[in-house]
Amino acid sequence: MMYTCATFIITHEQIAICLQRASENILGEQKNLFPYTNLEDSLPVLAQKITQNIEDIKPDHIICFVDLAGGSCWNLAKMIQKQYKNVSIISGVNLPMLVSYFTNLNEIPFEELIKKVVKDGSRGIIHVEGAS
Amino acid sequence: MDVQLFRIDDRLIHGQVVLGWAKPLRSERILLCDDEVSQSAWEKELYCTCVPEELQALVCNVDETINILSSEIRPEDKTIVLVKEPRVVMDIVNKGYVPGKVNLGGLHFSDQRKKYLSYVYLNDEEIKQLHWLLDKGVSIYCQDVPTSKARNVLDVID
Repeated sequence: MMYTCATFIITHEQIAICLQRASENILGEQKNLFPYTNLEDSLPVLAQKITQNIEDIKPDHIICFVDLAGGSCWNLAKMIQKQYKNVSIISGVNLPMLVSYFTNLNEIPFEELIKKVVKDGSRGIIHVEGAS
Repeated sequence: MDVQLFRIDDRLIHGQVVLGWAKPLRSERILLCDDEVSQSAWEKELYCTCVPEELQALVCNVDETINILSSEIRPEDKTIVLVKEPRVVMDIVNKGYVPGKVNLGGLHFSDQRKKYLSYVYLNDEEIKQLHWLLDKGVSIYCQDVPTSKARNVLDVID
């Protein structure tokens, strides 16, 4: 099963680059993974950089992980989605989600991968109650 | 009548505005003033979809915004006005509404813009536009979120 994915992590501050490092620390280097921060660049500048990455790779699928739905990173991902047909957006990016993604990439069909990644991201959030 | 916050922010409706400002100000309405956005159903939906329920989001062109600002805003109204660049404030002033205070909250890096603060990048034209607004009696301060220090724009750009 082989499909190419361009993977974008788009976040506030340095979360994106740290999530990349943490994922690669666990699973090793990942191909076609691009972290972006909204810290300095305006959205059109970021959109241009992302478009360039996409044009370089011409992937079967594009996936944008963003931190906050409704924030500027989310708005940027929606702009990319308007430009290209094969764009999936997942908000609330966390490490369990990314570990699931990179582990299952090219192991299961893309549509299943997306569903699994969203589920595993939620399953990584566990509340352990303190003793009363 | 001045609104709660009159903000220049090239990201328009995003986290810093709906969470950072609207929550502590207990705002009730966000008015996005932009001629282009108001003509695009897609962009309108993009910006309004994720606004929390307790906030009303309006997208208006400059003329509609001036009507609202000059006739409908009452002291008890808790409204935030958002524009994407200083040029839009100039349009508003030229058409007869002069805001007392304008918050320069976010203009990010793009070609020709130079860095002044981590959230303020400006090109020469925008510097001129800010001076023009100051000459018209508009007071302009830089502040990204309510908890950070407000700085007079002249201390930043001069």
